Amino acid sequence: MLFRFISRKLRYFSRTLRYKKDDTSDCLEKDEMTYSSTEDTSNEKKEEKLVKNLEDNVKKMQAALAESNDTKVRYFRYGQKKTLKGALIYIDGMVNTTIVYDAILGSLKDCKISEEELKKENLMDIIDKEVLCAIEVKHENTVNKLIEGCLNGDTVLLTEGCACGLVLDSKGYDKRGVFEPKSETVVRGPREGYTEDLRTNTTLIRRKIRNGNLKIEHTIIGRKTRTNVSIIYLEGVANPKVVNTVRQRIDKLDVESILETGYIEEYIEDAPFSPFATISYSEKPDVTAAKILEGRVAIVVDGTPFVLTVPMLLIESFQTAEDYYVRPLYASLVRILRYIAYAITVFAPAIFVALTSFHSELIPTTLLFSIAQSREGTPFPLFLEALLLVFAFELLREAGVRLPKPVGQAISIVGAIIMGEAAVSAGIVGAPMVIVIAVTAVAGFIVPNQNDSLSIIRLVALMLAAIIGLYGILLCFLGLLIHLASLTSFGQPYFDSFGYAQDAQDTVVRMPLWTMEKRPDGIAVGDTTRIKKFVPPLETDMANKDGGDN
Amino acid sequence: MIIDKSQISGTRFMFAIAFYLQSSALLTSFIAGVSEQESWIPVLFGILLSLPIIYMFRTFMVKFPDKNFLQVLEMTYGKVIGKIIGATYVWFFINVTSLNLLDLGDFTKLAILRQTPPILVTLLFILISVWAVRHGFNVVARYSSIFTIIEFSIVILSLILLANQIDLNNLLPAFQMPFYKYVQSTHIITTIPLGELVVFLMVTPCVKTISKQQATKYWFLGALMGFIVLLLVLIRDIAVLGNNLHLFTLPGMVSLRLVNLGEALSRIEIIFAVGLTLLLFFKITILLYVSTIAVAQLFGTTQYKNLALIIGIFVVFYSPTLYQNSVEHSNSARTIEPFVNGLFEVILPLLTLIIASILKLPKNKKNMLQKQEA
Repeated sequence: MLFRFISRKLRYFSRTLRYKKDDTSDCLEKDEMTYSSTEDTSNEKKEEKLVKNLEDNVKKMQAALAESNDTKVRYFRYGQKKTLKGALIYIDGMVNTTIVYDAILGSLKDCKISEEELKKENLMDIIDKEVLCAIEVKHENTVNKLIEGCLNGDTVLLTEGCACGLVLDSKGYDKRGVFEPKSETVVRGPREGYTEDLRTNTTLIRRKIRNGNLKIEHTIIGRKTRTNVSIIYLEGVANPKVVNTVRQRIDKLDVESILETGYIEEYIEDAPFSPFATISYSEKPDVTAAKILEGRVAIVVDGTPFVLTVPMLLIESFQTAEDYYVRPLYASLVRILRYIAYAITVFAPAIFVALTSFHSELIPTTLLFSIAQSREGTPFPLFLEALLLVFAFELLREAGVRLPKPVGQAISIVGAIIMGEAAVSAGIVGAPMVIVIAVTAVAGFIVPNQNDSLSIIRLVALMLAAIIGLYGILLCFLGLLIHLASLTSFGQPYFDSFGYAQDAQDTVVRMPLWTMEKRPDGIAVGDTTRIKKFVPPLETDMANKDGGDN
Repeated sequence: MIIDKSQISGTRFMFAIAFYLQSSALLTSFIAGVSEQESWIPVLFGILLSLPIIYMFRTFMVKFPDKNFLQVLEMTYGKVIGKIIGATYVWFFINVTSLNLLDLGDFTKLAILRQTPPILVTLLFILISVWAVRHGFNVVARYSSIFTIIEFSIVILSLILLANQIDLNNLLPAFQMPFYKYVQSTHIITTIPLGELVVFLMVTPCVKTISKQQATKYWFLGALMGFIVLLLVLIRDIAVLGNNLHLFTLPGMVSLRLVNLGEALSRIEIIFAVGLTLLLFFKITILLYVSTIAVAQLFGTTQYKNLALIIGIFVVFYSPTLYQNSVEHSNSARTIEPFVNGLFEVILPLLTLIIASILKLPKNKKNMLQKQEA
């Protein structure tokens, strides 16, 4: 009886839980529906059609552009007898004036077609086909579309007697050149980096992968900013599921502004509350190209030199572009060094605190004595000391990043002399602790991509170590493992342990490129073969020689 | 009814079995008390005896690939009796979890944190376990392979480092004890570490469909990897400590403490402590997962995520009530537990298998074959 009672209670509990879930999902759907319907009506209201009168059209356009000062309207007459009226509307500074005046205005003025012919129904067609020598021409008949063209740096052509306008491509604004990126410098490898211009960035990728299958999709996000966003992937290699997910998540975005890839990242990532980023970014086209070739999907946003790639695995934080440009033995050594550095920077302060305050029997006696000696006279407990120094280090780092370069020098002097020397000699902190924190800081710079996660985990480990010593650090490590195992990035397990990975040639060590015959398992779908069977030259020579002798 | 929808590959399942056995290898003291320096003989016998048991488990997996053990019990004995037997199994799983947690508490009290109350240690431990269980078996078994390899390398490394301390004469003399001692310790070794593999019958629905040959391969290869470590550890400890073996609660830790290569390498028993805690963590997590799934199955709910925390906390407070002290614990491990475990690990599964084959279960064999082909 009791048993049945409990089971019924449990079943009831689970059922209510399920109902609750259903309810919330229903609500969400309803919300979305109402939301989208209001959006639709507002859009319809704005859909203002053009009329035949030129003056009215120009007024409408100016009103839609809020009579802004940088909107320029240029009236002109054209045709054989110069009797037809027309107007060019563009935004000053967004257009290339040479194109506007030479290619558009010039060709219109030189036009020798008679008025009778031009006054036919398809006036715009004739202008488009026979008069203009612009590259890209779009026929639009709503104010909205014309405005959008204007705001993108195109020129709008309106004429008297036609309820239709032409959007002529004339983009030309100041942009930064292709320079070496500051965040990812290399000793060996290409030095070009992305710029703030979307088209330049896609071209940089296109120039690395000259393949017809490189697909660039385009969307516009941001109700106010109308930011251009491109999704780039290699068709036939990238996992269609991942591409679809990216597309859906980006299309679903209904936000006001996108100013940097960080905005998009936050909206589409799998685990927003994890200390680990599940979307990777780069400032170098060769890095992005390599990832696209592995089957990943890149997201380029106009106005920022950072390009996102998904899915991201933890391993990627420990791989750098240069790993593949230098010889494999050295690359492997450096990669292992990076793993060790990560472990050091996360756990070193915690281990030091745990060892000195809980497990002093594990420290060699001579070292223990010198630690005890330096601890003499320091007022704070070790944990507080560690916290203080970690805090000081974060302060220095943040100050160094934000300050202008000439002042930055001063920060390092203050850090080295005052924080280091003076604090020790004044007896506020012990020298061993300063050394440990210094090692921690230096090791942290070796894995720059994980800077956010490691400073959080370091603090957690430090606190657990202060409470229950080494055991706490172990628990922190286990929790970290569990958390990593539970993360996914666009359906791909984020950390699949090193155990028996299919693509083990490129995890702990970096094997020679010719051993990587397959693209990474799970990320690439379809065309997964990277290279055909390759035999090192010396071996092929030997084989040939043997064959010749026989 | 599928409680946990996550799926793991067959290889991962194999490594899970391997490291489950390995994690028992580090706590070999309970058998040393019975057969002292001859303990390697019952271990060999135990391994031989456990082979048919593992074959039986594998048959369960082949016959009922998408059913966990409690579902099989219900199918075989009908709803009422099946549930009653299932309830006893729930107790068994929770009990094994608690005993392992108790081991952990004892170990930390002995070796790492002498003054910290064990309840704090186990509570924090189980909270992280619960966190893992809530993510499903996929996460629980994720690190099985890498930890198997790490454990292997620790054992091999310790053998190399202890090469100067190992005296194989310590394994002798053999067959000097009364016969019943061998029977008793074989019984212990078969039921406590080896037969506990019965818990893996609860996770078979989470394994991606595999063929008969693969099932056999994974069960036996996994067990073999566990056996090797079990034997290596025991022989190492006997060869280093000789017939003092039974004096220590943690012989492995003591023998690692003897490592002393010049001034450079000493006091590496911390590696033992870390390794043991890691392995015990994953063992307890698997056991907690199994207990949770069993309870969820018993009450017919799929909301196992909420149950995990309840059972975890229950285990934390149940385990200290089991024994007054660790002497009583190891005494019970020698005299009572083997018989209790034997019932759940050998007799009941065997009976179920026989009745199931008489009833010609599973009835929808066609589906199963299709599943295997797919």
